[in-house]
Amino acid sequence: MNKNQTGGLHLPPSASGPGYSRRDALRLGAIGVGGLAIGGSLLAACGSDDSSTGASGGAKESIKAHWVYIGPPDDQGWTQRHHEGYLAAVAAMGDKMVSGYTPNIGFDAGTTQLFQQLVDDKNDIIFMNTEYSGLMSEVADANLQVKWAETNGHHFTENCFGYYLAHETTAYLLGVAAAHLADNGRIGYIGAFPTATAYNDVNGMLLGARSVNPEATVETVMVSTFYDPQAAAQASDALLNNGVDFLFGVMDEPTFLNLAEEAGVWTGYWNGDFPEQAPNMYTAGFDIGHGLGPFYTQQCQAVLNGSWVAPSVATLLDTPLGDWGPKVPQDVKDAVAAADAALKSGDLHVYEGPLMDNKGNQVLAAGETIDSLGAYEINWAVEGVSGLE
Amino acid sequence: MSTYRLERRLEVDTKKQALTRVAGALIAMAVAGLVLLLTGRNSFKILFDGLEAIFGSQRGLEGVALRAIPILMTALAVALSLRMKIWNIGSGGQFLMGAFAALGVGIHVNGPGWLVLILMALAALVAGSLWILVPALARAYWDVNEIITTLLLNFVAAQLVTWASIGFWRDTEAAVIQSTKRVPYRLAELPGTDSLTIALLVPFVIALVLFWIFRSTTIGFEIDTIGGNARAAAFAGINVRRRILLVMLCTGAIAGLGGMLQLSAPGARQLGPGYEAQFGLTGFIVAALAGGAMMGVLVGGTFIASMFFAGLVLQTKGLSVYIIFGIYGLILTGVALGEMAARYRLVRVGDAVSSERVAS
Repeated sequence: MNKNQTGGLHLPPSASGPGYSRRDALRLGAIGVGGLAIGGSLLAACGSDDSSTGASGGAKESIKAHWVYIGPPDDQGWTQRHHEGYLAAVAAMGDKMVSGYTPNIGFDAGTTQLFQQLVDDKNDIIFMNTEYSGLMSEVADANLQVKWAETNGHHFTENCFGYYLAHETTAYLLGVAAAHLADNGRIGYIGAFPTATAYNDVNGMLLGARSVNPEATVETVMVSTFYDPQAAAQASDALLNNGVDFLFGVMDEPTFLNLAEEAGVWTGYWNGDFPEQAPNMYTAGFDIGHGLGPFYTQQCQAVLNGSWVAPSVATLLDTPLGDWGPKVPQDVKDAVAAADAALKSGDLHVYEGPLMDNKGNQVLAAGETIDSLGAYEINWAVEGVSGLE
Repeated sequence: MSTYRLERRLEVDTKKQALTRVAGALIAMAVAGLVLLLTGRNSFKILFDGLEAIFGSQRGLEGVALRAIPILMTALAVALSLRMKIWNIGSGGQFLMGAFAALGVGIHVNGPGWLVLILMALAALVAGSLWILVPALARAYWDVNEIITTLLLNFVAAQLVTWASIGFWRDTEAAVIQSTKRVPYRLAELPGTDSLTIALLVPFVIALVLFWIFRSTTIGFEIDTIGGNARAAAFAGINVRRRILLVMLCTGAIAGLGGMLQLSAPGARQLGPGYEAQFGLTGFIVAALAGGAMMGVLVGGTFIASMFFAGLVLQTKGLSVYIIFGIYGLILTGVALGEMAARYRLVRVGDAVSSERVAS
C-alpha cells in the first residue's frame, strides 16, 4: 500500500523503469540541454510534444486517463473506495492505458490550473471524485477532445457528464435499522453542503426510520467540507451532546464513527464497509465501491474503442447497503431485508406522496413518487428534518 | 590560537542579505534533493520536471503569473503595514471582503463592462478598508493589538462568504456544492496571452508607487520613522494616529482590490469555499521574508508562486503532496535563515575591537 499512499502514476508494464518511461528520459535530456542554454524553454517544449493520439473519435492503440481525488487515497472512506475502483480499471486495462491520479485537490482556483495541466498532458479522459463544477467546466468546455466524468456532476455537454451513486434507497434501509436501534428515535446527521446528496441522505434516513417509529427525527449539522476530521469531530460532539441515538454523515473519513463508538451510540457510514472504525456500534454503510471499478473500466474501454458518448443524464450506480457490523441484532437485519425486498419489487417507494417538506409545503401529492433520477435533482428536506432547509 | 564566535552586525548590507537569502534557498533545495535521493526518489528529475512545468511552455509562465497576482496583492498590503511595524494578519479577510463587494456589484449592476469593472474595483477598495477600520481605530486610539483583531476578522469574512454562497447569492443553476453566481464581467485580456488579464499589471504598479512613496516623499519618511520609533516620531511632530489610520486603511484597500482582481482569474469567477486559498497567509510569509521591501515582495511573491505552480504540476506526475509541502517548508526556512545569517558575522575572539566597530 505504500506505493498507493504516495504515488500517482501507473505506467503499463511495457514502459521502462520503475520511476519513469523512455519518453520522460528523452524529455529529461531535452530539458538538461535547454537548461544549459537560456531557460531551455523552447527545447523542452519540443522534446515533450509527443503521444498525439489523433482525433477524439475512432479506436485508439492506448489511452491516457487521470483521476482527481478530493482526499488521500487511504482515507478509510470515500477516496479509498474510488481508488480501489481506479486500481480495478488499471488492472483491467493493462498495457492499453497510461494512468495517474492526483489526491488532495480542494475547491480553489488552483484546481482549474490542475485541470488545464491534465489537458496539456494529453489525457483522454479525466475522472473527478467530487463535484468541481465551476472549477472544471471552463476547461472542459474549451477542450472537447478530452472526456470528463464528474462524481455528482451536473454539467452535461458533448464531452462531459455526471455519475453518482443511487443512495436514497440505501439511506432508507439504514434509516430502518437506525429506528430499531435508536431508543429515542433521534438520528444525527453531519452534512457538508446543502445539495441533493444531503437531501437524499436525510430524507431517506427519516422516511425509513418513520416506517418503524413515526416519531423519528433527523437533526443535521452542516460543516461545508467533505474532508476535515476536525470539523467532523466538532459536529459529532455537538450532535452527541445534544442526545442523538444514531449518528450518520456524509464525511469522507471515519472520525465521527470513532466518536460514536466512544459515546456508545450506534452509527453508520457513507463509504461502507469499515466496521473496525466502530467495532461495537457499527451498523452498516453504503457499499459505494460496488459499481465503481466496473464503471471506470467500462468508461476507459469505451474511450479505447472509440465508442464513448457522453450520457445526457446522470449515470447512477447501484449502491447496496454494505455488510452488517458484528453487533447488529438479527431482528434488525431481518427488518431491513424485508424493506429491501419491498423496495426492489416496486411495492415500496422511498418518496411517495402525500409528503410534506420541513417548511410546511406539500411536495408530493397522494400517489406521486420520485425515482432515482428525480432524486438526483431534489432540493428539499422532508418534515421531521431540522438543520437543513 | 583563536576561537570564533558570532557577532551581530551593526549595519546590515541589504545587497549581501539578498545574496544570503538566495543561498539559503539553494542550500534548502540541496538538502531536500539529498533527502529525496536517500529515500529512493530521483530528485534531479523532480527538479527538471518542476522547471519544465514553469519554463517549458507559455502555459507554465501564465500559470505562475495567475498564482502570483493574489499573493502579490496580499503581500504588498502586509508589507505596507510592516513599514510601520504593524502586523496586518487579516489580509485574507480583506481580500475576501473585496471580492464579496465586487461580486455584489458585478452580479447586480448592468452596464458597460468597463464601467461596472471600475465600480467593482471601487467597491473592493472600500470594502477592504472598511474590514480593517475597527482594528485600525482600536489600534490608533486605544492601542489595541492589531494582530488579534485583524486575525479574527478573517473568520468572520469566511463565514459571511459561506452564507452568501449557500444563501442569498447562491448559484442555483450550475453549482452543485456551494458557490455564488458568476460575475459576467472580466478584465481586459493581456494581449498575447491565453489566460491573463490586465490584473497582472496592478501589483507591479502598486509596488512601484509604494517604492516611490517610501523613497521620495515626506509621508513615506514619516511612516518609516513611526516604524522605527513611534514615540520619537510623535515628539518630532508627526501625527502618529492619523498615519496609523491611513496606513491600515490603505493596506486593507490593497488586499480588497486583490480580491476583486482574482474574480477575473480562470475558475475564480464566483465565490466559494476555496476562494481565499490561503492567499492572506502566503502573502504574509512573502512580506515578512521581504522585510517590507516592495521590490523584495515582487521577487519573493513570484518565487513562491512558481514554487506552488511547479508543486501542482509535480503532484499530477505522482509526487506526494506531503513531500511537496515538505519542500516548500524547507525552502522558506532556508530563506528565513539566510536573512538571519546576513545579520551576523564570524569574529575571532581575542581581537580587542572588530574592524567594523572601528569603522562605525
